[in-house]
Amino acid sequence: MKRLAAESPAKKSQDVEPKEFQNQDPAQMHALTELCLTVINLNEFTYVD
Amino acid sequence: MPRLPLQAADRRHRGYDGRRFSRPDHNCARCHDHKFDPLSQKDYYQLQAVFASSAPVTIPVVTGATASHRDEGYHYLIALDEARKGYLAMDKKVKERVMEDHKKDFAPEAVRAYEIAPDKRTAQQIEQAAPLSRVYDSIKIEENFTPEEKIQREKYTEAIVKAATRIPQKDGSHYVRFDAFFDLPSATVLGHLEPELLPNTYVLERGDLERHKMKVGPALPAILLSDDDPDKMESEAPGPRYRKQLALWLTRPDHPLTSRVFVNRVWQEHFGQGIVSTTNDFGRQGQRPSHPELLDWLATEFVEQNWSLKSLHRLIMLSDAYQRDSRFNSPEDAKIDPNNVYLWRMNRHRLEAETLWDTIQAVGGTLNLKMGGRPIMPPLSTAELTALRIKEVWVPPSDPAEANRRGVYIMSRRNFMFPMFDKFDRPDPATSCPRRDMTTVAPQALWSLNNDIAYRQARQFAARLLRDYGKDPSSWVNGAWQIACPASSLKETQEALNVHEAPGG
Repeated sequence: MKRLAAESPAKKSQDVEPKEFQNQDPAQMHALTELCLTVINLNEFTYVD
Repeated sequence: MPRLPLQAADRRHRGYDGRRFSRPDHNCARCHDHKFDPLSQKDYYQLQAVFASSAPVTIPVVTGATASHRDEGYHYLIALDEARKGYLAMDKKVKERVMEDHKKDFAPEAVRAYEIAPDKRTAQQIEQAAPLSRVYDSIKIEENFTPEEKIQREKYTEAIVKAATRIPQKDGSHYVRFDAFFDLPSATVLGHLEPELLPNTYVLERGDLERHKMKVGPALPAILLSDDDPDKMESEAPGPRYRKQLALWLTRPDHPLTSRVFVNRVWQEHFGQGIVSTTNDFGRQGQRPSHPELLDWLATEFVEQNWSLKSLHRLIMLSDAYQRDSRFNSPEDAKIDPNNVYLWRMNRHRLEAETLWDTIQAVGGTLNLKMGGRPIMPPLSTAELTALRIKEVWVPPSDPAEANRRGVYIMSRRNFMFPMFDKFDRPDPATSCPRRDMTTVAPQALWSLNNDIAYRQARQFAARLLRDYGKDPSSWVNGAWQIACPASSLKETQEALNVHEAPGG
């Protein structure tokens, strides 16, 4: 997990890390971000029922 | 006959083009009588004559007092211009000094050709001077300053910054914010031409601007009027009042088309398909309405509610038909009406490009609901800007919050589509689009998974979960689902996917 976090796009991004991520486990924050990215890619998000 | 005014009037006419309000589409009648609908070429050009007396005019949308305040501040612009002149003159001086050293490396003929002013060079001289021009363009000024020039350069830079920041951002008494850099907010409207300047309008042989068949005056389509209709435009000469007359005719409560066409479009937006599926064509080639009484009733309600869009939206969205689920468990119904023409369920449809943008911003808690102002240009990667010939025209805002405004404010250029919108079927803004495509293709998924914007918003979404649901990971999945997919039940989805929570959450 730590290796994945270190290789994450966030490391290459110019964006400032959200302040909520400070003092948090980087691997866990990476996993949470990936969860959110997955949710954004769900059909339930993109398609209206 | 000058072509430009005729082409301009024709463009304004085609911008009206009937498709938005009065169906059927009458563009065919530009070159010949409509093949299917009772619209003649004469009808087309008589409608064009309505617009012949108009020309686009840009006017400030501020009071005279604000315009005066802006004009009184002209000296600020002069100060900025002078500071810029000094800065650029210095750059030129440095480059010329460096070029003098380089000239000895070239043949005398090339140097002589180069020393001639560029606009006075012959073709041969241009070719001879080309190598020196390339050298000139490649000079890096910052690497060639003397210490004194470096100090002077910094002074010029400071003068530019000072002059630029002194320019007022708003009118001092009315607090109207100037647009861009000291420009007055303005709008382009159709103004009236003087009667002496009004061009004649002719029916054109096969639409050819050079071939006139007969002169026509402004009039409405004959098929839509009776002989004693007061809206018939009797006069031969076009004038400003005919556009108003056209507008009043279109919005007559008993107009057979306008309100029907309009409510049909709104219905299509909500249901994915109009009551008349051919939204741009209510003519003989168009489809018949699936629910004619419903269309008539919506049209009359719309007019009776004073053409209120909000009331129309509310009326549709509070209906039983709108609130139906798209899921069903009755294969017999699907067999009878597989295309859901009779609305026995809701049509599942994908969010449109702009709505998807807004939703991605909203789940991250970053959506900026500020209204109005100039269009925004969210930051794009170098690869995404490849399609832009001149990259400098895409200017991201200095305030990151501006980049998170609603998708309707994102800049739309004729030759450059915002990349996300291009993937999610935003139509070409240059033409009328009766119905957006709703594709499901791989580039959409690739954008959502890999684009910087999507990842950035995922991080903001994650930060929001931390704020709203605390640091307990067991609450994040439910929290993410509630924010992003409130209409769907997570439990049902989990059961459908046969997914179970891991022990310990």
